[in-house]
Amino acid sequence: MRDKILYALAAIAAVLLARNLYIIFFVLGEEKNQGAIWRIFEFHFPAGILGLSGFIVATIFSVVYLMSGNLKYDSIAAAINEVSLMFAAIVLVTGSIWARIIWGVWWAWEARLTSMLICWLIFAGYLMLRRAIEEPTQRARLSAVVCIFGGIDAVIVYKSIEWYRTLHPGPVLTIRGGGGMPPGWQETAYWNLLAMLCLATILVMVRMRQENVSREIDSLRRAAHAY
Amino acid sequence: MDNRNFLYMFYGFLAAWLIVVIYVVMLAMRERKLRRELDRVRQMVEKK
Repeated sequence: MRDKILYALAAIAAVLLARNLYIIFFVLGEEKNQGAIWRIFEFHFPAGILGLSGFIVATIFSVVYLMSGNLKYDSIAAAINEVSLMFAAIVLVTGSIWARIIWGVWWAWEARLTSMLICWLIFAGYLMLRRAIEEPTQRARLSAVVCIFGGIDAVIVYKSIEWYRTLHPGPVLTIRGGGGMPPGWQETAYWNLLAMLCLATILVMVRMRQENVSREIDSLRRAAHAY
Repeated sequence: MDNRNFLYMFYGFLAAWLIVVIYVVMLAMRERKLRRELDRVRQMVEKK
C-alpha cells in the first residue's frame, strides 16, 4: 500500500514538473530587467517554503517527542529535517546564483541570507549530532533540543524580509501583502510548490522507513547482547 | 525567450536538480546498507 502511494506521488510530481517547466520556459512572459534569470524564482520560492515549513513541522514533532518520550516522533522529526535541509541547500545555491547577476555578488551578509545560512548550519549540526550519539534516547533528547533552536531560527528567516529591509527583496506574493509579480508567475510558483511537495513527501516517507529499519537494527542488537 | 543571463539560469536549474539527484542517490545507498545490516543482525540473533 505504502509503495503504491509512493508511485502515485512520483507520477503526480513528474506530470506537474513537466507541465510547470513547459509553462516557465514557453508560456510566461519576460522580466524587463532580469532577463532569463528570473525563472530561478519558480524553484527558489517552493524550495524555500518547503525547507522552512519542514523545519517548523519537525520542531513540533521534536516538542511532542520531549513531552511523550515516544521515539516514533523523533524519527519523524529526523526524516523531515533531512529532506528540509536538502531544500534549504537548493534555496541557498539558487539564491546565490540569482544574486550574482542581480546584485553583482554571490553573497551578502544581510538579514535574510545570514539567518538562512545559520538555519542550514543548525540543521546540518543536528544531523551530525544524530550520527555521533549511539544511545537512541539520549540522541533523540539532545537532537530535539537542537531542533527547537533551529525551528526558532526558521521563523526568524521567514519573517526577516518584513522585520529588516535590507538587500533581499521584500514579500512579493499577494498572500504576504506583496504585489510585484506579473500575471501567471505566482500561480506557476504555487503549482511548482505542489509538485515539490509531492517530491518532499516521497523522500520523507522513504527516510522514515529507513529510520524504522535503524530502530529495528538497534533493538535486535540489544536483544543479541542481552542473551 | 529573452536570452540575457540564460547561462546563469541554467546553472541555477542544474544546481537545484543536482542537489536532488545527489540526495536521492545517498538515500538509495543508505537503504541498501541498512537492508544488509538488518539481514546481518537478524542472522546474528538467530544463531544465538
